Amino acid sequence: MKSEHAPGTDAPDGPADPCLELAQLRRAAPPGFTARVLRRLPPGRPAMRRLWPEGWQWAAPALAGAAAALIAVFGLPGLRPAGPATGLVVVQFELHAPDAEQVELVGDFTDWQRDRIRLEGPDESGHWTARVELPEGRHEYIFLVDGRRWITDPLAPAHRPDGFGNLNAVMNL
Amino acid sequence: MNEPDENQRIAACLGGDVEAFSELVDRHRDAVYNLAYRLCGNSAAAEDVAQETFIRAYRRLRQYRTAFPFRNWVLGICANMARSQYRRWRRKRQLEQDYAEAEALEREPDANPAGLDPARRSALERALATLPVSLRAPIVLRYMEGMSVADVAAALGLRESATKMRLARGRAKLAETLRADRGGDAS
Repeated sequence: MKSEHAPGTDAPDGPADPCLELAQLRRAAPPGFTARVLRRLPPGRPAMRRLWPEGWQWAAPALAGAAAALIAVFGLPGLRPAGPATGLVVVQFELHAPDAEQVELVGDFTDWQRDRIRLEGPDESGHWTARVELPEGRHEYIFLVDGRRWITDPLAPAHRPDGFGNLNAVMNL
Repeated sequence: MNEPDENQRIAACLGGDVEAFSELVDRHRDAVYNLAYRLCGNSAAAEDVAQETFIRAYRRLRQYRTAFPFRNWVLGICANMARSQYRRWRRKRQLEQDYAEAEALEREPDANPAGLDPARRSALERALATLPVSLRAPIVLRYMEGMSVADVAAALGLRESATKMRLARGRAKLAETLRADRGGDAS
């Protein structure tokens, strides 16, 4: 396979490499663009949470609701509530990643910040685990493997697109 | 990584400060517009997609994770929207992309008259427009926006290995198209 070269450096094809000339074709946004965007913004603060999603995205929350109903009736292996009286639920997170060097848990409960919750592992079977106490309610999360790969929890009851190509896991506690 | 003040602006937006959002738009509008333009092939559709990108980003700002650069996030939204727009366009018109897009690009005003000579510029525009969208998006982000391979991969939701492969294929196809273009001009 051809190797990748950095923009602005000598390319395999020499100075006439078309990729090095592409930056000169860059288009700037037309005048008044920002003002036109601002005129179209919805009033008030950025949405807290839409009551009804756009387009076909209704399918994900609908499936999440159905999954939550099933969990309420039948329970879910891996998610073990400590009891409703505390308002907190102990959740066991688990990911099979035998080749990983580090696995983090990132979610709305970490404000989507890294370096808050690290999973322990891997054990002999290649599993990483963490027990986390979370408030009751709906949560979205994703695993970050080796600081660069976002991995959706395959064991989660539901998933939801995160807006930039990955799926968040969704759970209702 | 975000510039130091960018997270503050995002926090201000979440508090309802529209002026802070306008500063974010100002900072990233050219990158977003350029990607939209390259994926849609004309300025009207590009402006539409670029505007929608920022509006969607504003609506979803609470879902944004500061672990990601904000620019990567909005460019990812833009790439998804432009691809959807492009698919709709193709379904509606049932046209092949290459000739129509190349013609549309040639009609656009010259954005950089002091740069490349017009013939080379025109050939590059045509060659870029004939790349499949799956190769064009990484090429635009890498070589027009100067993003790292890791950032391109993150913005487009690809693995780094797949991104490198697409970049290599895109470069090869660009070079091949330009060679063929020169051959056609010479004959």
